[in-house]
Amino acid sequence: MDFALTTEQQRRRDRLLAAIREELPGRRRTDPADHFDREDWARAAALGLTGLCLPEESGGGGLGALDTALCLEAFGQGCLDTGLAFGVAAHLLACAVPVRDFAGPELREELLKGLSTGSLIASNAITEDAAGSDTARLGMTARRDGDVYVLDGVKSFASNAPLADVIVTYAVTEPAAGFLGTSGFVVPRGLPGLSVSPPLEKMGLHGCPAGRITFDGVRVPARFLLGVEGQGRAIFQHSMGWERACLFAIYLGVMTYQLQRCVAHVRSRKQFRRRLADFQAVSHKISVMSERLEGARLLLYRACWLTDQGTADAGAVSLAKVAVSEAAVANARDAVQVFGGIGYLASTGIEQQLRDAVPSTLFSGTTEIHRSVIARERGL
Amino acid sequence: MNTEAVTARVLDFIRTEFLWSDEDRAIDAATPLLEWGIIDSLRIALLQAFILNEWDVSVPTARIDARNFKNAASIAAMICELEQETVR
Repeated sequence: MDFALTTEQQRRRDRLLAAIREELPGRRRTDPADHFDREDWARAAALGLTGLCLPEESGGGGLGALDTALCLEAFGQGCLDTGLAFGVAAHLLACAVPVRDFAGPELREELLKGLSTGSLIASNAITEDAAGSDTARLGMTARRDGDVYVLDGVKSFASNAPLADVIVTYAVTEPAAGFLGTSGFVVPRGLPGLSVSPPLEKMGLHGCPAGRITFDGVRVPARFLLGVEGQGRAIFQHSMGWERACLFAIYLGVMTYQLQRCVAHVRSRKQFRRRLADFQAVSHKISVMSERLEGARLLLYRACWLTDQGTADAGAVSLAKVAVSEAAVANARDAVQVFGGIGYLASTGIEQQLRDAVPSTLFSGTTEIHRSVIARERGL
Repeated sequence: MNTEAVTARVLDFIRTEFLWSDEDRAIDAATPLLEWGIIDSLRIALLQAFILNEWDVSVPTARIDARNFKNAASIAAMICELEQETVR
């Protein structure tokens, strides 16, 4: 067992972190309507972030899951705009990965280069008003009509949707087949019958706009089907495996930066003629934050390593997802406490970390769903 | 590997692990498990683990489809096929 990163991994990560700090530092976003624009996206793409794990021949980085996670961790650490990092990672892992692995050769050729280089922005649309965690019971339907599928339904919480060029979505093609009767599609934004709402007003991740997408008799050419009919559940789970393993590395980066700021603050701030660091109640809080971060990091790296080995199981990925997201919320709350009143001010940027962390226990499967998966893996 | 015996074992597992009343447990090899919602996205992982433990057969993602998991008989047929492929 070797816990050390290779020299190549360390160098890639350090180079990227330096480049992000220099060229993509981001900024605090306190207004729910203030989201990334094409210019922000292009800066992320220029650093290779939109195509980290996509094939090199398509303009991607050709990285595996662990190396992708290391780069996303640097993104979270170096860029203040966690919403932008989230939007880029969702584009890459929930949209481009299924295109990479399940699109037919023609569709793959047509889309992958644009997704890698960031000229195309993708949105993943799975959630519905009546199907949040219960994605096996989708209401959206796709009916085959000659050479096209006709899509009808409404999706919500679709990240990147207001700016997306293509949408990866899932619909029921065979109702009698239960959760194995869903199929995955890539839908170009401009097709008649497709409309996207203005950005939803959210608590956090303001940098990433999310919206509702209405499919009203949208006629999608059959070649835009991902995989084969009925494979939607497997495709979605595959993409979520990558997302749950890699995307959450962003939060490891955020927590690393947050901890550095907390340590600097308690070492310099004095109360009652003593440094905050000299109060055990404060220093122990820093210790607990470190424990959460380092434990979550080990679980996430392990989940990514298993993904690269082709042996990742749902339980290992769920353990990592829960550990990182719960640590992100707990550490963000502790950081506000460590900073005291100024941590509550938007200008400090600490309260944004808490707002950005809260949704992490909801998207990509809630903590409760993942704990059920973990329990079942233990034979319960 | 005897398909009928595998079917019986699969049915036994489903009755024991997924169904709670005697009425619900009155299923047979042709009961449409997906259509009736007896197998869902969480339970299929348990079923995969059971198949691996019981017959040392790993079900690849590509084989998880509506045809193979339609009912206990089709699941058993798939297990036998996968076992044969492993032997070959």
